[in-house]
Amino acid sequence: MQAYLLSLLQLTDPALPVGGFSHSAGLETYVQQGLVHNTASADAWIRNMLAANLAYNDAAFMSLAFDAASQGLDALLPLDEQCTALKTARELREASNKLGLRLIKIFRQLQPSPVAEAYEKAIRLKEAAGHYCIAFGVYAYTLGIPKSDAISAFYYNAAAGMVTNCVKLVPLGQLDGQQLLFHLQPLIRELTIATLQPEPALLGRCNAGFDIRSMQHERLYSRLYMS
Amino acid sequence: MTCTLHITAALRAGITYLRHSYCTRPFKVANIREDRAALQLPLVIMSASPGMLDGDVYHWKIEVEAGAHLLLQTQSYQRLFTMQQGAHQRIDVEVASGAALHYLPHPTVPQAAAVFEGHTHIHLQENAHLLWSEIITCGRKLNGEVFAFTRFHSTTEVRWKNKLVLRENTWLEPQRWSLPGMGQLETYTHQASLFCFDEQLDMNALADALHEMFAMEERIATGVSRTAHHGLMLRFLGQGGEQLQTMIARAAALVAGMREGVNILK
Repeated sequence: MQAYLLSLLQLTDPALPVGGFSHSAGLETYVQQGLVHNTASADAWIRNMLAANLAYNDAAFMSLAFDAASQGLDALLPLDEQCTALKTARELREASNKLGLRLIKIFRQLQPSPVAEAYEKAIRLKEAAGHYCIAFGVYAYTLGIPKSDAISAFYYNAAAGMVTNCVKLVPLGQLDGQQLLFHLQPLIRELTIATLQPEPALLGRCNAGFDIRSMQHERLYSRLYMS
Repeated sequence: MTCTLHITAALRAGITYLRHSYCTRPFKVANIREDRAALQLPLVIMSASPGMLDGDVYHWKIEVEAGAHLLLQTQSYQRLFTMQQGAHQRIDVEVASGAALHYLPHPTVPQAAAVFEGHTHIHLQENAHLLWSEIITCGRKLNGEVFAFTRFHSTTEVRWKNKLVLRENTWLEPQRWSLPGMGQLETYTHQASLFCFDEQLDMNALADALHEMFAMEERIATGVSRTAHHGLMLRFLGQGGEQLQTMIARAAALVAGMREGVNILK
Protein backbone atom coordinates (compact mmCIF):
# COMPACT_ATOMS: atom_id res chain seq x y z
CA MET A 1 0.00 0.00 0.00
CA GLN A 2 1.22 3.48 -0.80
CA ALA A 3 2.02 5.51 2.32
CA TYR A 4 -0.15 8.43 1.20
CA LEU A 5 -3.30 6.40 0.52
CA LEU A 6 -4.81 6.64 4.00
CA SER A 7 -4.11 10.38 4.16
CA LEU A 8 -5.83 10.81 0.80
CA LEU A 9 -8.85 8.82 1.97
CA GLN A 10 -9.14 10.94 5.10
CA LEU A 11 -8.71 14.23 3.20
CA THR A 12 -11.50 13.31 0.80
CA ASP A 13 -13.75 11.38 3.17
CA PRO A 14 -17.28 12.76 2.74
CA ALA A 15 -17.63 12.24 6.52
CA LEU A 16 -14.77 14.69 7.21
CA PRO A 17 -16.41 17.31 9.44
CA VAL A 18 -15.89 20.36 7.22
CA GLY A 19 -19.62 20.84 6.85
CA GLY A 20 -19.95 19.88 3.20
CA PHE A 21 -23.28 18.18 3.89
CA SER A 22 -24.97 21.54 4.52
CA HIS A 23 -24.21 22.92 1.04
CA SER A 24 -26.00 21.99 -2.17
CA ALA A 25 -24.09 24.39 -4.51
CA GLY A 26 -27.34 25.56 -6.06
CA LEU A 27 -28.89 22.09 -6.49
CA GLU A 28 -31.70 22.98 -4.11
CA THR A 29 -32.85 25.70 -6.54
CA TYR A 30 -32.66 23.29 -9.49
CA VAL A 31 -34.80 20.76 -7.64
CA GLN A 32 -37.37 23.30 -6.40
CA GLN A 33 -37.73 24.69 -9.93
CA GLY A 34 -38.15 21.21 -11.35
CA LEU A 35 -35.03 21.48 -13.51
CA VAL A 36 -33.45 18.49 -11.76
CA HIS A 37 -36.21 15.97 -11.19
CA ASN A 38 -34.99 12.46 -12.03
CA THR A 39 -31.87 10.36 -12.50
CA ALA A 40 -31.15 11.66 -16.00
CA SER A 41 -31.40 15.34 -15.07
CA ALA A 42 -29.39 14.74 -11.86
CA ASP A 43 -26.71 13.07 -13.98
CA ALA A 44 -26.68 16.03 -16.41
CA TRP A 45 -26.41 18.48 -13.52
CA ILE A 46 -23.49 16.61 -11.92
CA ARG A 47 -21.64 16.11 -15.21
CA ASN A 48 -21.92 19.76 -16.16
CA MET A 49 -20.88 20.85 -12.68
CA LEU A 50 -17.75 18.72 -12.99
CA ALA A 51 -16.84 19.29 -16.65
CA ALA A 52 -17.97 22.88 -17.28
CA ASN A 53 -17.58 24.40 -13.83
CA LEU A 54 -15.20 22.63 -11.42
CA ALA A 55 -12.69 21.81 -14.16
CA TYR A 56 -12.04 25.54 -14.68
CA ASN A 57 -12.79 26.75 -11.19
CA ASP A 58 -12.37 24.85 -7.92
CA ALA A 59 -10.52 21.83 -9.32
CA ALA A 60 -8.25 24.06 -11.41
CA PHE A 61 -7.49 26.23 -8.38
CA MET A 62 -6.83 23.11 -6.31
CA SER A 63 -4.32 21.98 -8.94
CA LEU A 64 -2.63 25.42 -9.01
CA ALA A 65 -2.58 25.60 -5.20
CA PHE A 66 -0.91 22.18 -5.10
CA ASP A 67 1.93 23.58 -7.24
CA ALA A 68 2.02 26.90 -5.41
CA ALA A 69 2.28 25.21 -2.00
CA SER A 70 5.94 24.40 -2.60
CA GLN A 71 6.64 28.10 -3.20
CA GLY A 72 5.01 29.40 -0.06
CA LEU A 73 2.30 31.89 0.84
CA ASP A 74 3.21 34.52 -1.77
CA ALA A 75 2.27 32.08 -4.52
CA LEU A 76 -1.04 31.21 -2.84
CA LEU A 77 -2.32 34.73 -2.20
CA PRO A 78 -2.98 35.65 -5.87
CA LEU A 79 -4.93 32.40 -6.27
CA ASP A 80 -6.98 33.19 -3.18
CA GLU A 81 -7.67 36.72 -4.43
CA GLN A 82 -8.73 35.47 -7.84
CA CYS A 83 -10.96 32.78 -6.38
CA THR A 84 -12.78 35.39 -4.26
CA ALA A 85 -13.19 37.75 -7.24
CA LEU A 86 -14.61 34.98 -9.43
CA LYS A 87 -17.22 33.71 -7.00
CA THR A 88 -19.87 36.37 -7.56
CA ALA A 89 -22.67 34.36 -5.93
CA ARG A 90 -22.38 35.13 -2.22
CA GLU A 91 -23.38 31.71 -0.90
CA LEU A 92 -20.86 29.88 -3.08
CA ARG A 93 -18.12 32.23 -1.94
CA GLU A 94 -19.05 31.87 1.72
CA ALA A 95 -19.33 28.08 1.43
CA SER A 96 -15.84 27.96 -0.04
CA ASN A 97 -14.53 30.13 2.81
CA LYS A 98 -16.23 28.13 5.56
CA LEU A 99 -15.18 24.75 4.24
CA GLY A 100 -11.65 25.97 3.66
CA LEU A 101 -11.20 27.23 7.19
CA ARG A 102 -12.62 24.02 8.68
CA LEU A 103 -10.30 21.91 6.54
CA ILE A 104 -7.32 23.86 7.83
CA LYS A 105 -8.54 23.59 11.43
CA ILE A 106 -8.76 19.82 11.15
CA PHE A 107 -5.48 19.21 9.39
CA ARG A 108 -3.33 21.65 11.34
CA GLN A 109 -3.75 19.28 14.29
CA LEU A 110 -2.70 16.31 12.18
CA GLN A 111 0.00 17.48 9.81
CA PRO A 112 2.42 20.36 10.43
CA SER A 113 2.73 22.56 7.36
CA PRO A 114 4.43 25.98 7.39
CA VAL A 115 2.61 27.05 4.20
CA ALA A 116 -0.81 26.02 5.56
CA GLU A 117 -0.06 27.83 8.82
CA ALA A 118 0.96 30.94 6.86
CA TYR A 119 -2.27 30.68 4.84
CA GLU A 120 -4.34 30.36 8.01
CA LYS A 121 -2.60 33.39 9.48
CA ALA A 122 -3.28 35.37 6.30
CA ILE A 123 -6.97 34.42 6.59
CA ARG A 124 -7.02 35.54 10.22
CA LEU A 125 -5.41 38.86 9.27
CA LYS A 126 -7.90 39.22 6.36
CA GLU A 127 -5.10 39.20 3.83
CA ALA A 128 -6.78 36.16 2.32
CA ALA A 129 -10.38 34.97 2.27
CA GLY A 130 -9.52 31.27 2.52
CA HIS A 131 -10.94 28.80 0.03
CA TYR A 132 -11.59 25.07 0.34
CA CYS A 133 -10.00 24.24 -3.02
CA ILE A 134 -6.81 26.10 -2.12
CA ALA A 135 -6.56 24.57 1.36
CA PHE A 136 -7.19 21.14 -0.19
CA GLY A 137 -4.34 21.66 -2.68
CA VAL A 138 -2.00 22.80 0.09
CA TYR A 139 -2.71 19.77 2.29
CA ALA A 140 -2.63 17.32 -0.61
CA TYR A 141 0.86 18.61 -1.37
CA THR A 142 1.89 18.59 2.30
CA LEU A 143 0.65 15.03 2.83
CA GLY A 144 2.80 13.81 -0.06
CA ILE A 145 -0.14 12.79 -2.24
CA PRO A 146 0.72 12.61 -5.95
CA LYS A 147 -0.97 15.44 -7.83
CA SER A 148 -3.03 13.34 -10.21
CA ASP A 149 -4.42 11.25 -7.34
CA ALA A 150 -5.22 14.40 -5.41
CA ILE A 151 -7.11 15.82 -8.41
CA SER A 152 -9.07 12.59 -8.99
CA ALA A 153 -9.95 12.46 -5.31
CA PHE A 154 -11.02 16.11 -5.34
CA TYR A 155 -13.41 15.39 -8.22
CA TYR A 156 -14.59 12.18 -6.56
CA ASN A 157 -15.29 13.97 -3.29
CA ALA A 158 -17.26 16.68 -5.14
CA ALA A 159 -19.15 14.07 -7.17
CA ALA A 160 -19.96 11.98 -4.09
CA GLY A 161 -21.28 15.07 -2.33
CA MET A 162 -23.44 15.99 -5.33
CA VAL A 163 -24.79 12.43 -5.59
CA THR A 164 -25.67 12.40 -1.86
CA ASN A 165 -27.52 15.70 -2.25
CA CYS A 166 -29.36 14.45 -5.35
CA VAL A 167 -30.43 11.28 -3.49
CA LYS A 168 -31.81 13.43 -0.66
CA LEU A 169 -33.33 16.28 -2.64
CA VAL A 170 -34.67 14.91 -5.92
CA PRO A 171 -35.06 12.24 -4.35
CA LEU A 172 -33.31 9.32 -6.02
CA GLY A 173 -32.94 5.75 -4.81
CA GLN A 174 -29.71 4.95 -2.98
CA LEU A 175 -28.76 2.44 -5.67
CA ASP A 176 -29.50 4.94 -8.44
CA GLY A 177 -27.12 7.34 -6.72
CA GLN A 178 -24.35 4.75 -6.59
CA GLN A 179 -24.95 3.90 -10.26
CA LEU A 180 -24.51 7.60 -11.13
CA LEU A 181 -21.32 7.86 -9.10
CA PHE A 182 -19.82 4.70 -10.55
CA HIS A 183 -20.48 5.78 -14.12
CA LEU A 184 -18.75 9.12 -13.54
CA GLN A 185 -15.39 7.36 -13.36
CA PRO A 186 -14.43 7.80 -17.05
CA LEU A 187 -15.31 11.51 -16.86
CA ILE A 188 -13.28 11.96 -13.67
CA ARG A 189 -10.30 10.21 -15.29
CA GLU A 190 -10.56 12.49 -18.31
CA LEU A 191 -10.92 15.64 -16.20
CA THR A 192 -8.00 14.65 -13.98
CA ILE A 193 -5.65 14.66 -16.98
CA ALA A 194 -6.99 18.01 -18.19
CA THR A 195 -6.68 19.55 -14.71
CA LEU A 196 -3.02 18.60 -14.19
CA GLN A 197 -2.07 21.78 -16.05
CA PRO A 198 -5.15 24.03 -16.14
CA GLU A 199 -5.46 26.16 -19.26
CA PRO A 200 -4.73 29.72 -17.99
CA ALA A 201 -7.16 31.47 -20.36
CA LEU A 202 -10.04 29.31 -19.16
CA LEU A 203 -9.34 29.73 -15.46
CA GLY A 204 -12.49 30.90 -13.72
CA ARG A 205 -14.82 30.21 -16.64
CA CYS A 206 -18.25 31.59 -15.76
CA ASN A 207 -21.28 29.30 -15.86
CA ALA A 208 -24.14 31.79 -16.01
CA GLY A 209 -26.85 29.23 -15.25
CA PHE A 210 -25.11 27.74 -12.21
CA ASP A 211 -24.37 31.23 -10.91
CA ILE A 212 -27.94 32.44 -11.30
CA ARG A 213 -29.43 29.38 -9.58
CA SER A 214 -27.01 29.87 -6.69
CA MET A 215 -27.99 33.52 -6.45
CA GLN A 216 -31.66 32.52 -6.49
CA HIS A 217 -30.98 30.10 -3.64
CA GLU A 218 -30.43 33.07 -1.31
CA ARG A 219 -34.12 33.88 -1.70
CA LEU A 220 -35.80 30.47 -1.83
CA TYR A 221 -38.88 30.30 0.37
CA SER A 222 -37.81 27.15 2.19
CA ARG A 223 -34.25 25.93 2.37
CA LEU A 224 -32.58 22.85 3.76
CA TYR A 225 -29.10 23.85 2.64
CA MET A 226 -26.87 26.89 3.20
CA SER A 227 -26.02 27.18 -0.50
CA MET B 1 -7.60 47.23 -38.72
CA THR B 2 -6.51 48.68 -35.40
CA CYS B 3 -9.09 51.10 -34.07
CA THR B 4 -8.35 53.35 -31.14
CA LEU B 5 -10.55 55.34 -28.83
CA HIS B 6 -9.37 57.43 -25.92
CA ILE B 7 -11.72 59.48 -23.78
CA THR B 8 -10.96 61.52 -20.69
CA ALA B 9 -13.80 63.07 -18.73
CA ALA B 10 -12.95 65.64 -16.09
CA LEU B 11 -14.67 68.02 -13.73
CA ARG B 12 -14.82 71.80 -14.09
CA ALA B 13 -16.94 73.97 -11.79
CA GLY B 14 -18.94 70.92 -10.75
CA ILE B 15 -19.81 69.93 -14.32
CA THR B 16 -18.27 66.98 -16.15
CA TYR B 17 -16.78 67.81 -19.53
CA LEU B 18 -14.88 65.98 -22.22
CA ARG B 19 -11.29 66.98 -21.53
CA HIS B 20 -9.72 64.75 -24.11
CA SER B 21 -11.06 62.69 -26.97
CA TYR B 22 -9.08 60.89 -29.59
CA CYS B 23 -10.35 58.24 -31.95
CA THR B 24 -9.48 56.62 -35.21
CA ARG B 25 -11.84 55.16 -37.81
CA PRO B 26 -14.54 53.91 -37.50
CA PHE B 27 -15.19 55.64 -34.16
CA LYS B 28 -16.62 59.01 -33.34
CA VAL B 29 -17.60 60.38 -29.99
CA ALA B 30 -20.78 62.41 -29.73
CA ASN B 31 -21.68 64.55 -26.76
CA ILE B 32 -25.46 64.27 -26.40
CA ARG B 33 -25.89 66.60 -23.43
CA GLU B 34 -29.06 68.59 -23.95
CA ASP B 35 -29.13 70.48 -20.69
CA ARG B 36 -25.91 72.47 -20.47
CA ALA B 37 -26.32 72.71 -16.72
CA ALA B 38 -26.50 68.91 -16.30
CA LEU B 39 -23.67 67.71 -14.09
CA GLN B 40 -23.17 64.38 -15.82
CA LEU B 41 -21.62 63.98 -19.24
CA PRO B 42 -23.51 61.66 -21.61
CA LEU B 43 -21.41 60.45 -24.54
CA VAL B 44 -22.28 58.11 -27.36
CA ILE B 45 -19.56 56.09 -29.01
CA MET B 46 -20.54 56.01 -32.66
CA SER B 47 -19.12 53.63 -35.19
CA ALA B 48 -19.18 53.86 -38.97
CA SER B 49 -18.53 50.11 -39.16
CA PRO B 50 -21.45 47.66 -38.99
CA GLY B 51 -19.37 45.56 -36.59
CA MET B 52 -16.08 43.84 -36.00
CA LEU B 53 -14.45 42.18 -38.98
CA ASP B 54 -11.79 39.50 -39.11
CA GLY B 55 -8.49 40.88 -37.83
CA ASP B 56 -10.00 43.97 -36.24
CA VAL B 57 -8.34 45.15 -33.05
CA TYR B 58 -10.18 47.66 -30.88
CA HIS B 59 -8.28 49.44 -28.17
CA TRP B 60 -10.22 51.72 -25.92
CA LYS B 61 -9.05 53.80 -23.02
CA ILE B 62 -11.61 55.50 -20.82
CA GLU B 63 -10.57 57.78 -18.01
CA VAL B 64 -12.88 59.48 -15.57
CA GLU B 65 -11.02 61.97 -13.44
CA ALA B 66 -11.69 62.77 -9.79
CA GLY B 67 -15.29 63.72 -9.11
CA ALA B 68 -16.42 63.51 -12.75
CA HIS B 69 -19.48 61.51 -13.85
CA LEU B 70 -19.51 59.93 -17.30
CA LEU B 71 -22.45 58.15 -18.87
CA LEU B 72 -21.10 56.19 -21.80
CA GLN B 73 -23.42 54.69 -24.38
CA THR B 74 -23.10 52.88 -27.66
CA GLN B 75 -24.95 53.61 -30.86
CA SER B 76 -26.04 50.16 -31.93
CA TYR B 77 -25.60 46.42 -31.49
CA GLN B 78 -22.01 45.22 -31.88
CA ARG B 79 -21.97 42.60 -34.61
CA LEU B 80 -19.12 40.13 -34.83
CA PHE B 81 -18.88 38.92 -38.40
CA THR B 82 -17.67 35.62 -39.86
CA MET B 83 -13.97 35.21 -39.17
CA GLN B 84 -10.91 33.06 -39.63
CA GLN B 85 -8.43 34.50 -37.12
CA GLY B 86 -10.78 36.55 -35.01
CA ALA B 87 -11.25 40.03 -33.63
CA HIS B 88 -9.67 41.42 -30.46
CA GLN B 89 -10.80 44.08 -28.09
CA ARG B 90 -8.99 45.63 -25.16
CA ILE B 91 -10.63 48.17 -22.89
CA ASP B 92 -8.71 49.97 -20.14
CA VAL B 93 -10.74 51.97 -17.69
CA GLU B 94 -9.65 54.29 -14.88
CA VAL B 95 -12.25 55.70 -12.53
CA ALA B 96 -10.59 58.15 -10.16
CA SER B 97 -11.45 58.97 -6.61
CA GLY B 98 -15.07 60.08 -6.22
CA ALA B 99 -15.72 59.67 -9.94
CA ALA B 100 -18.54 57.70 -11.56
CA LEU B 101 -18.88 55.75 -14.77
CA HIS B 102 -21.92 54.08 -16.29
CA TYR B 103 -21.32 51.93 -19.34
CA LEU B 104 -24.37 50.07 -20.58
CA PRO B 105 -23.61 49.05 -24.16
CA HIS B 106 -25.90 47.50 -26.74
CA PRO B 107 -25.84 43.70 -27.04
CA THR B 108 -23.03 41.91 -28.85
CA VAL B 109 -24.12 39.61 -31.67
CA PRO B 110 -21.59 36.90 -32.54
CA GLN B 111 -22.69 35.78 -35.98
CA ALA B 112 -21.91 32.45 -37.62
CA ALA B 113 -18.20 31.50 -37.34
CA ALA B 114 -17.33 34.63 -35.33
CA VAL B 115 -14.22 34.46 -33.16
CA PHE B 116 -13.86 37.11 -30.49
CA GLU B 117 -11.47 37.78 -27.66
CA GLY B 118 -11.95 40.77 -25.39
CA HIS B 119 -10.22 41.87 -22.21
CA THR B 120 -11.44 44.67 -20.01
CA HIS B 121 -9.39 46.05 -17.13
CA ILE B 122 -11.11 48.47 -14.80
CA HIS B 123 -9.31 50.33 -12.02
CA LEU B 124 -11.35 52.01 -9.34
CA GLN B 125 -10.03 54.41 -6.74
CA GLU B 126 -11.57 55.28 -3.42
CA ASN B 127 -15.28 56.11 -3.59
CA ALA B 128 -15.43 55.48 -7.32
CA HIS B 129 -18.85 54.41 -8.57
CA LEU B 130 -19.17 51.94 -11.41
CA LEU B 131 -22.10 50.48 -13.27
CA TRP B 132 -21.09 48.18 -16.12
CA SER B 133 -23.06 45.73 -18.22
CA GLU B 134 -22.59 43.20 -20.98
CA ILE B 135 -25.26 41.49 -23.09
CA ILE B 136 -24.31 38.56 -25.29
CA THR B 137 -26.75 37.17 -27.82
CA CYS B 138 -26.74 33.77 -29.50
CA GLY B 139 -26.30 35.29 -32.97
CA ARG B 140 -28.89 36.45 -35.49
CA LYS B 141 -31.64 34.44 -33.91
CA LEU B 142 -34.38 35.54 -36.30
CA ASN B 143 -32.25 34.20 -39.16
CA GLY B 144 -32.14 30.87 -37.37
CA GLU B 145 -28.58 31.50 -36.24
CA VAL B 146 -28.39 30.18 -32.69
CA PHE B 147 -24.93 29.55 -31.24
CA ALA B 148 -23.39 29.27 -34.70
CA PHE B 149 -20.33 31.34 -33.72
CA THR B 150 -16.98 29.64 -33.20
CA ARG B 151 -15.75 31.23 -29.98
CA PHE B 152 -16.62 34.17 -27.77
CA HIS B 153 -14.18 34.91 -24.97
CA SER B 154 -14.48 37.97 -22.80
CA THR B 155 -12.74 38.67 -19.50
CA THR B 156 -13.44 41.59 -17.21
CA GLU B 157 -11.34 42.42 -14.19
CA VAL B 158 -12.18 45.09 -11.65
CA ARG B 159 -9.49 46.30 -9.29
CA TRP B 160 -10.23 48.54 -6.38
CA LYS B 161 -7.07 50.32 -5.28
CA ASN B 162 -5.00 47.54 -6.88
CA LYS B 163 -6.95 44.72 -5.23
CA LEU B 164 -8.74 42.37 -7.61
CA VAL B 165 -12.38 42.53 -6.51
CA LEU B 166 -14.20 41.03 -9.48
CA ARG B 167 -13.24 38.73 -12.31
CA GLU B 168 -15.53 37.50 -15.05
CA ASN B 169 -14.37 35.00 -17.63
CA THR B 170 -17.06 34.37 -20.22
CA TRP B 171 -15.93 31.68 -22.62
CA LEU B 172 -18.63 30.47 -24.94
CA GLU B 173 -17.63 27.83 -27.45
CA PRO B 174 -20.58 25.84 -28.79
CA GLN B 175 -18.39 22.99 -30.04
CA ARG B 176 -16.86 22.56 -26.61
CA TRP B 177 -19.81 22.99 -24.26
CA SER B 178 -23.46 22.54 -24.99
CA LEU B 179 -24.60 26.11 -24.42
CA PRO B 180 -28.27 25.20 -23.91
CA GLY B 181 -27.04 22.72 -21.25
CA MET B 182 -27.54 22.71 -17.50
CA GLY B 183 -25.64 25.46 -15.75
CA GLN B 184 -24.97 27.23 -19.05
CA LEU B 185 -27.77 29.14 -20.79
CA GLU B 186 -30.22 26.35 -19.97
CA THR B 187 -33.36 26.96 -22.03
CA TYR B 188 -32.35 30.53 -22.91
CA THR B 189 -30.35 32.04 -25.77
CA HIS B 190 -29.15 35.38 -24.38
CA GLN B 191 -27.22 36.31 -21.27
CA ALA B 192 -26.54 39.58 -19.54
CA SER B 193 -24.67 40.78 -16.52
CA LEU B 194 -24.65 44.09 -14.72
CA PHE B 195 -22.33 44.86 -11.88
CA CYS B 196 -22.10 47.79 -9.58
CA PHE B 197 -19.36 48.96 -7.23
CA ASP B 198 -20.04 51.74 -4.77
CA GLU B 199 -18.76 52.18 -1.24
CA GLN B 200 -21.63 54.41 -0.16
CA LEU B 201 -24.65 52.48 -1.40
CA ASP B 202 -26.40 49.95 0.82
CA MET B 203 -25.75 46.97 -1.42
CA ASN B 204 -28.03 44.65 0.56
CA ALA B 205 -30.93 47.06 0.09
CA LEU B 206 -30.02 47.44 -3.57
CA ALA B 207 -29.94 43.66 -4.04
CA ASP B 208 -33.36 43.39 -2.37
CA ALA B 209 -34.79 46.13 -4.57
CA LEU B 210 -33.41 44.56 -7.74
CA HIS B 211 -34.77 41.19 -6.72
CA GLU B 212 -38.20 42.74 -6.14
CA MET B 213 -38.05 44.50 -9.49
CA PHE B 214 -37.56 41.30 -11.48
CA ALA B 215 -39.19 38.69 -9.22
CA MET B 216 -42.38 38.54 -11.27
CA GLU B 217 -40.70 38.46 -14.70
CA GLU B 218 -41.51 35.05 -16.08
CA ARG B 219 -39.64 35.00 -19.38
CA ILE B 220 -36.21 35.49 -17.89
CA ALA B 221 -34.07 33.91 -15.19
CA THR B 222 -32.62 36.47 -12.79
CA GLY B 223 -30.01 36.25 -10.09
CA VAL B 224 -28.68 39.01 -7.89
CA SER B 225 -26.01 38.72 -5.25
CA ARG B 226 -23.36 40.57 -3.31
CA THR B 227 -19.91 40.09 -4.73
CA ALA B 228 -16.83 40.25 -2.53
CA HIS B 229 -15.94 43.67 -1.14
CA HIS B 230 -18.51 46.36 -2.00
CA GLY B 231 -19.95 45.04 -5.24
CA LEU B 232 -23.18 43.64 -6.56
CA MET B 233 -23.80 41.36 -9.52
CA LEU B 234 -27.05 41.03 -11.42
CA ARG B 235 -27.34 38.30 -14.03
CA PHE B 236 -30.04 37.48 -16.55
CA LEU B 237 -30.79 34.70 -18.96
CA GLY B 238 -33.36 35.62 -21.56
CA GLN B 239 -34.60 35.22 -25.10
CA GLY B 240 -33.82 38.51 -26.81
CA GLY B 241 -31.34 41.37 -26.95
CA GLU B 242 -33.94 44.07 -26.63
CA GLN B 243 -35.63 42.26 -23.77
CA LEU B 244 -32.39 42.12 -21.75
CA GLN B 245 -31.45 45.66 -22.71
CA THR B 246 -34.74 46.82 -21.21
CA MET B 247 -34.05 44.86 -18.00
CA ILE B 248 -30.56 46.33 -17.73
CA ALA B 249 -31.91 49.84 -18.31
CA ARG B 250 -34.54 49.35 -15.58
CA ALA B 251 -31.90 48.04 -13.16
CA ALA B 252 -29.56 50.92 -14.00
CA ALA B 253 -32.33 53.45 -13.41
CA LEU B 254 -32.97 51.90 -10.02
CA VAL B 255 -29.29 52.08 -9.09
CA ALA B 256 -29.10 55.69 -10.31
CA GLY B 257 -32.22 56.55 -8.37
CA MET B 258 -30.87 54.98 -5.22
CA ARG B 259 -27.62 56.78 -5.67
CA GLU B 260 -29.46 60.06 -5.85
CA GLY B 261 -31.20 59.17 -2.66
CA VAL B 262 -34.52 58.74 -4.43
CA ASN B 263 -36.46 55.66 -3.60
CA ILE B 264 -38.26 55.16 -6.87
CA LEU B 265 -39.98 52.08 -5.54
CA LYS B 266 -42.25 54.28 -3.44
